[in-house]
Amino acid sequence: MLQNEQEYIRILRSRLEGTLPTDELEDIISDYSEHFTMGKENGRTDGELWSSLGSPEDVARELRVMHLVKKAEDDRSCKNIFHAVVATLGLGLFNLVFVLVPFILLVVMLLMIFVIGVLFTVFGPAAFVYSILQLAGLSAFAIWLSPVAGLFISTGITTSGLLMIIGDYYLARFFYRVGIRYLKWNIGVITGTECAA
Amino acid sequence: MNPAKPDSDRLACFVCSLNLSGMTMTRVILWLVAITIVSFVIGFCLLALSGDFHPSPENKASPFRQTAMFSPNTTTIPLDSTTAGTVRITMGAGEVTVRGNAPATALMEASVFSPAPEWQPDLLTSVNGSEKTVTMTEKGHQGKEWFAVHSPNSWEVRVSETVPVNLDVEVGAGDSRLELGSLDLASLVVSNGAGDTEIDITRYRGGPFGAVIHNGVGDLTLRIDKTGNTRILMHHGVGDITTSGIVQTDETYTTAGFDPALPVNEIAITQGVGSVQLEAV
Repeated sequence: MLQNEQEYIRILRSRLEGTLPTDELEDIISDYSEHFTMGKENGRTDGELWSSLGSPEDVARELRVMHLVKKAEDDRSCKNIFHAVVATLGLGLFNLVFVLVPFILLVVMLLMIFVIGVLFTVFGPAAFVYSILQLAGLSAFAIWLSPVAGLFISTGITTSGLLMIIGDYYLARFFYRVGIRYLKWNIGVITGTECAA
Repeated sequence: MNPAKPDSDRLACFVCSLNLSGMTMTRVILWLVAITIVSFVIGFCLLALSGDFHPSPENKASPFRQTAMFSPNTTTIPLDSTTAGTVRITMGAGEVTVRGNAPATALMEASVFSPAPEWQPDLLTSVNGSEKTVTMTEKGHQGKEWFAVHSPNSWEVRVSETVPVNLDVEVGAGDSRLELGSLDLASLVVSNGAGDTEIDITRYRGGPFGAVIHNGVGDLTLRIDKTGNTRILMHHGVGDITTSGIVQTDETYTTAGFDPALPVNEIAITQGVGSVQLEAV
């Protein structure tokens, strides 16, 4: 494979097209072209410049990750953080352990809290109605030890369900922020640079 | 760069700016926390006061009953060497069904569907010569009744078809269903305070018996075998009496072809309020 400027720029462009906005992509391509131009003016060969920059595949991968993390930071959504996490996995196999596992655990935890909250919010009013039926002697089964106590406890169950859902929302926001910072730190450690794309 | 306001931030702004009659989201959360704490405290205090709540290593600290409704507690009383039996059933409130089809070596087999384990009935047995007596009694709720409400029990009792049986069924409130055609009755006493009573003695092939039926408030249905030699003496309060295949003479009802010279099944009915339906099938 030829290791010249054109080939480097071609690979870089092909790897980043579709991920980065056109203007940002052109800026990056321009930067790298300029780097080659200046290097050659200083008497360095294409091969030397290629080696010093690193392979265009690796560079494209890092730029893509940094862009997706920045995008997830600016525009908070499940899709963006998912793309950022998946892109980060491409930086190294060990990220399966250091990024994917914590990410899955967090998602499962938040999902469980949400599901339990919804169940409580649905079960609470049903149990409230049932305690009224039990109090009136209209229920087939006595599920409550005491139906009057059941009125209060079912109210508590309902409100705690609502609190879980609300708490889950804020918890998700908190972990989103922490997750972005962690991804940036992770990228910084792997690439040896500060992630400030 | 001034990025467009992300969706999540818009949602957050919306949630945070919720103003329900002057309540911010923080206030809503604080109110929910307060309601939750107060509700649980009051609820569990009431449970503790009612005497029902006994958390221990064996019993989970749950405000719910460990229901036995779906897994009946079945008890079998063997005949042993006895050749006759007396079965007495006393239930405060609930539904009771009595029929034959007990295991061959058993005087009685009882399945108790109770919503509360502590409401399981007491079963006492005694033997007097060749006769065995079983007493099945609802012991009631042992805790304080301030807040606890009884939910209906359901008992299903199967009685021996191989030995003569004195059957005594007493229900305070609830429905009773007695399918006794396959039994060999020595005597029958049925007493129901409030509720419907249905007694089916069709296809009866046992010995002659005497029966006393008291029904306070509720409907009574009695089906007897049309080929049996049965006489019914009726004391009736308020309500209709309908008959089918029965011959009426004043307050006495007999099966067609009744012969007082033959062994007679004597049934005395005292009905308070409610309709009576007599059928000879």
